[in-house]
Amino acid sequence: MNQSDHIFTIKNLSQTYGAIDALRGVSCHAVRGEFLTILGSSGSGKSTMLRILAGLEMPSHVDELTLDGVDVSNVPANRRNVSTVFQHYGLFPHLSVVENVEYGLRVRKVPSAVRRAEAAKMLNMVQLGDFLEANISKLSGGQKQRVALARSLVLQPAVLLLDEPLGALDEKLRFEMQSELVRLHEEFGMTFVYVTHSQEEALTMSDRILLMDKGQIVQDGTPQEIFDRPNCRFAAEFMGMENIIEGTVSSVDGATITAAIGETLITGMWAGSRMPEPSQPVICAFRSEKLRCTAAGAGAGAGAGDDALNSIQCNIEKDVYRGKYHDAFFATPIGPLRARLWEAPGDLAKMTRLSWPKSQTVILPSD
Amino acid sequence: MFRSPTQVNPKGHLILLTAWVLVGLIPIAGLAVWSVLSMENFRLVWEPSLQAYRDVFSSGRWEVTVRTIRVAAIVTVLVSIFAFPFAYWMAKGTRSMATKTILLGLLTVPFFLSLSARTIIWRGLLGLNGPVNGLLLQLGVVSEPLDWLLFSEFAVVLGLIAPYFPTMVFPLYMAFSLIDDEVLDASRDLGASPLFTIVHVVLPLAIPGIGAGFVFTFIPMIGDPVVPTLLGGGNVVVLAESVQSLLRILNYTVAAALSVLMLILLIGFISTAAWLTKRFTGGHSNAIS
Repeated sequence: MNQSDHIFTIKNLSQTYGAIDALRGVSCHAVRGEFLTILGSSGSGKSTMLRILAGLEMPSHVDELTLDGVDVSNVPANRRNVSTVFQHYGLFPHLSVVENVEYGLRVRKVPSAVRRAEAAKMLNMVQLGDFLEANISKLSGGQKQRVALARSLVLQPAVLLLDEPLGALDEKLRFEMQSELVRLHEEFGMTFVYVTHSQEEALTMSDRILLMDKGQIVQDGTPQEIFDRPNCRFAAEFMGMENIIEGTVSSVDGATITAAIGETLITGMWAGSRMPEPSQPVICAFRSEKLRCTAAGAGAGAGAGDDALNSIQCNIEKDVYRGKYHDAFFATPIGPLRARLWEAPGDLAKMTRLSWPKSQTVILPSD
Repeated sequence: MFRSPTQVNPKGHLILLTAWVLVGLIPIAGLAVWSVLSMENFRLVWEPSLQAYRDVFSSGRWEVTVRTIRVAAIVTVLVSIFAFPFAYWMAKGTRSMATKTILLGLLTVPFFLSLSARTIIWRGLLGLNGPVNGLLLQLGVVSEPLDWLLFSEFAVVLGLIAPYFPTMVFPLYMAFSLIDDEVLDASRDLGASPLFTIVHVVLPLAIPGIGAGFVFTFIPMIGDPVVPTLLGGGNVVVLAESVQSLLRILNYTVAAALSVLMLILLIGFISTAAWLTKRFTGGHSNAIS
């Protein structure tokens, strides 16, 4: 990929606060027009990275920090062509809705009639056309969010930075705003960099995800890649693989690895970077919703004998009703496993076999 | 059993109101009544008269009023110029809690010492044989000691700056601290220079604090006799001294009339400040909440 397709490039970025390393040698880039999500738990350094991109913080060390091809490593926030939507919106409480949106244009000395028209147009696009003169404190959380978006978008920045913008909203509103953001991204075609701790938001909206942990990027890939093929234990846990079993490599067949956990063999797809050696310690990870349970003697339709499935005998321990589904906890020779059962499972006590597709099992280096 | 806040005994308000009327309003009302009575042989007589007010204007006490307001206004402006950057830096510039605590602590130190004790120091410094004149002579800046350094309006203004610095810093510090960091970040992020942010975001949001700082600094200074007496040396008579001297010669009605005029002026100033605050915050009175 051509370097000029990158709207920003970061090479070897570190940020330290006293004795704390917030970022440790991060390198990444965004492609022009991309919806890039930085995903991580709190303290992973994702917000720090966003603040450094915005220029609100100066990095302790960086080899390269370019924005639209220009070195900005020493350029302060007010002279960078990026704009941030803050977690708590950062709206000016003493200004009306339209004055908030006009603010950036006022800074740029745009004539007042022009900036009023631009701001009104932008507020229409975020469906707040009727709230121009409203007082900020009278708005709901979702409306404040839209004002903050309009205020940033009206400046047509090269990159729009969003710092957990939906964190403070309730669930229904969050879904609405997710599709709203995707729509705005398509409409404006600018690069969005979206910081979140929610894998659901990341998977729904992004073109590409950077998964961060302890100040480093642990995985960089499309939502599907990160969801189906997490490349390390942290990624697997973060992306919601409930069943994680430690074992050792028994045999290697291309990308298909068979791991031994005691007497039991589990086969899956290798997701690490370097191919494993036999008897190397590894982790088998698979999602609870991929597990099926069958009763003894239920026939060969599923369970033992099917080459595409891993299979193991089991005993039910606990069944938790969760509305749309059941979470059933089984004791097995390889340790406790969780199965998410979407249909009423019948008598779980009679279920003696768990099975799940080998293609839905990932084998990871044990780090 | 605890009482919920809505069940607080309504009689409490009545008690507060009564106390306020007793200690606050009755003395003021008494003052107003005295100012329109007349004196005969150093005794009050119940005969309405405006003689006291005529005396205020004919005896040059009006000049004293103007001088007092001028000195207080100059000091308030000077103190704001120093206090604004200091309070802003303390609220937003330093992240260190220790620095903030130490500075706030140091600001309260003057309250431990008597104002006269702190003020009297200036006499030694600014006098004809003091170190300031000594230094100026030594450097050849002046050929003979400056006599306007002490017992002058200059000395009074200089002496008032330090005692009224904390009363301006505290409300400003509170007001700046209440401004959300994210709002300041947003301004920077939208391209505003630091000066633009201060003029268009910080100042409007800090107006209530600026108003409070003005009231706590300007108003008490008008009623303060200590610094003008010690550093003015009789050359800079201010209202408080004037009222004191009237009381000393038992001229109660003129003292009362002067006090009433002072009160009217202060109410005028405070109302103007309140009106300006409301105007500048444009009805967004919840700016800080």
